[in-house]
Amino acid sequence: MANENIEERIIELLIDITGEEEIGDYRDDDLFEEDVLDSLGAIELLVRLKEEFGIAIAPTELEREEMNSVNKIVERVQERL
Amino acid sequence: MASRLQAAIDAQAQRVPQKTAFYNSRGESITYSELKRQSDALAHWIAKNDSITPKTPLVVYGHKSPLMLVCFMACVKSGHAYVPVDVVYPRDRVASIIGQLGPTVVLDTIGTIPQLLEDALERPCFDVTELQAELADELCAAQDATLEGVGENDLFYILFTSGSTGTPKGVQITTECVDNFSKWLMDSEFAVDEERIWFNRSPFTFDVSLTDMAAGLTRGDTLFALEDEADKSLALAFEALGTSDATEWVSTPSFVDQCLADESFDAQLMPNLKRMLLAGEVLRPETVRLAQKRFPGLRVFNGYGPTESTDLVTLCEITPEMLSADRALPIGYAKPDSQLLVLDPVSLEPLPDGEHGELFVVGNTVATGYWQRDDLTQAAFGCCPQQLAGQSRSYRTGDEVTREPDGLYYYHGRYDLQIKLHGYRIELGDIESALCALPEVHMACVLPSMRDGAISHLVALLVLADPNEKAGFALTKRLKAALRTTIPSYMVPRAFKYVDAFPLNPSGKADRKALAALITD
Repeated sequence: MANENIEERIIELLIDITGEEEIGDYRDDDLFEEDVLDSLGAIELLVRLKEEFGIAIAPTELEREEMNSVNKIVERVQERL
Repeated sequence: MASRLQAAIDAQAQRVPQKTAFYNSRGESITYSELKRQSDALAHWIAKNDSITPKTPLVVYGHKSPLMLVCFMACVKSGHAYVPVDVVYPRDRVASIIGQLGPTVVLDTIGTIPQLLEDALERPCFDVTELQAELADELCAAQDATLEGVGENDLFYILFTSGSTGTPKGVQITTECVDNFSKWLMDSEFAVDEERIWFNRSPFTFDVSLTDMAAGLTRGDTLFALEDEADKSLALAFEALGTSDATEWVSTPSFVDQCLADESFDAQLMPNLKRMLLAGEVLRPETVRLAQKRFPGLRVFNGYGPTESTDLVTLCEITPEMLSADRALPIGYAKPDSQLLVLDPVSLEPLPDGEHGELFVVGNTVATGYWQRDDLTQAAFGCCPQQLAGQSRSYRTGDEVTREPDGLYYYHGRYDLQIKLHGYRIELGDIESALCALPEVHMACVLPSMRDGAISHLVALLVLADPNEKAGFALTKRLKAALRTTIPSYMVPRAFKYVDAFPLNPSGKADRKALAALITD
């Protein structure tokens, strides 16, 4: 899977969860601090990542700081593919 | 006559002095004898302090430390109602609460009132963590002095909840309300005679936090709680829960859902867990099924109650029959001393079983109204024509329910714009007022986004004051940051959408149904 493709699919996913169309333009923003994601949103994201990419990340496996931006989420997914 | 709840807790200092009354994820703990000793000392200190006006409600600031309980007990022992204010509240909300209370003082249990609060706190603020030495002296001096605690009809605590016009409103709970609620739980199936450790996720600003104080502390049980940082990190929460030995669990269904999303949340993590009491929002059958799969033999109870009637007014155990029935789960049977009336919301006539109507609570746990808001009090507490003579107080919940012939009640939604999100009670109008107060915003409408029959998040639809302003994430970020200074983070909508104009209904108001259609694809 091409890296670019993964990134795009994750951004699509995040747009779907957060309703924020321009999320892809702010890839280093802290999604929790900006109130784009909250604890339930984060769990929704993990569930969708499992459906989309088949990778299981337990909610207790990662601290918020490890997946609080678009870029970090992409990194975490790539590590596990 | 002192509060029965407080007397029952104090009695444990004689019965089981060395037993832990409360501990948290930071390892902070307090025994029953210390809880009594420290709260007695602080009560005497409060009574002697010249800057504290007798009988005024006092703010207790913090989250889930043992000192919160010490302060609560000290307040009621010295004749003051307590007003919990949680660390998650932004400055403006704290300022509004303190402003409404007037000549109050703040008892700070975390030792450092954050900088951002300092200018909001025009009232004296006492760091309780620093008072220990003074309190020891106080206790020696006070051996013989007696204090006058809160009386039966005095306020025991005030909980501030979201108000529809943007100002939080204070629900006034009397000693009588608290004692009547406690009596119910002490006599109910929760009064089992075994060693119990209660985990309660609810912050003290949330009525359900009274549940384990009433059912547990009065019997000498141990309470366990998550402090701030463990509340925010599921990994830390699991670590703490795993070593807690908790046998009872009290939380919102959505917190259980969050935990269940992690496969390690099971009987291996919490081998002693026996009972779960869930309240605060809609309980889905799937949550119960999964919890009982992970914790074989777990008993799950569903409860319901408005803050305005102290805590729960209905409760039932979820049975296999309820789970296999093709309908939503019941919220429970009525508390024996409460009369739960289902009335036609327009004519206020009683409705037969099975018909949808508005729930009115009548009985001995109904609050005396909203703090210094006679207008709101009259509207919510004074309009039940069906209550029996001699029963002085009723509360109009705004909740749509049915009662079945077997006595079970079912919840069907709200008649107004109040919602529950992650267990937090939120008036959508409160958020809309905060949005409209921003100079960039001309009109605002906040709507819940639904998934699987439950609210997943909030969406704000906005018409901007300046039509030429560039709408987008940069603006959204700025608006969210401004909102966070006036309302708690959990009330800030997840998604912001910008529109040129709102569709209006015939009365000239924003047409919420038409707007809702905009956000469902």
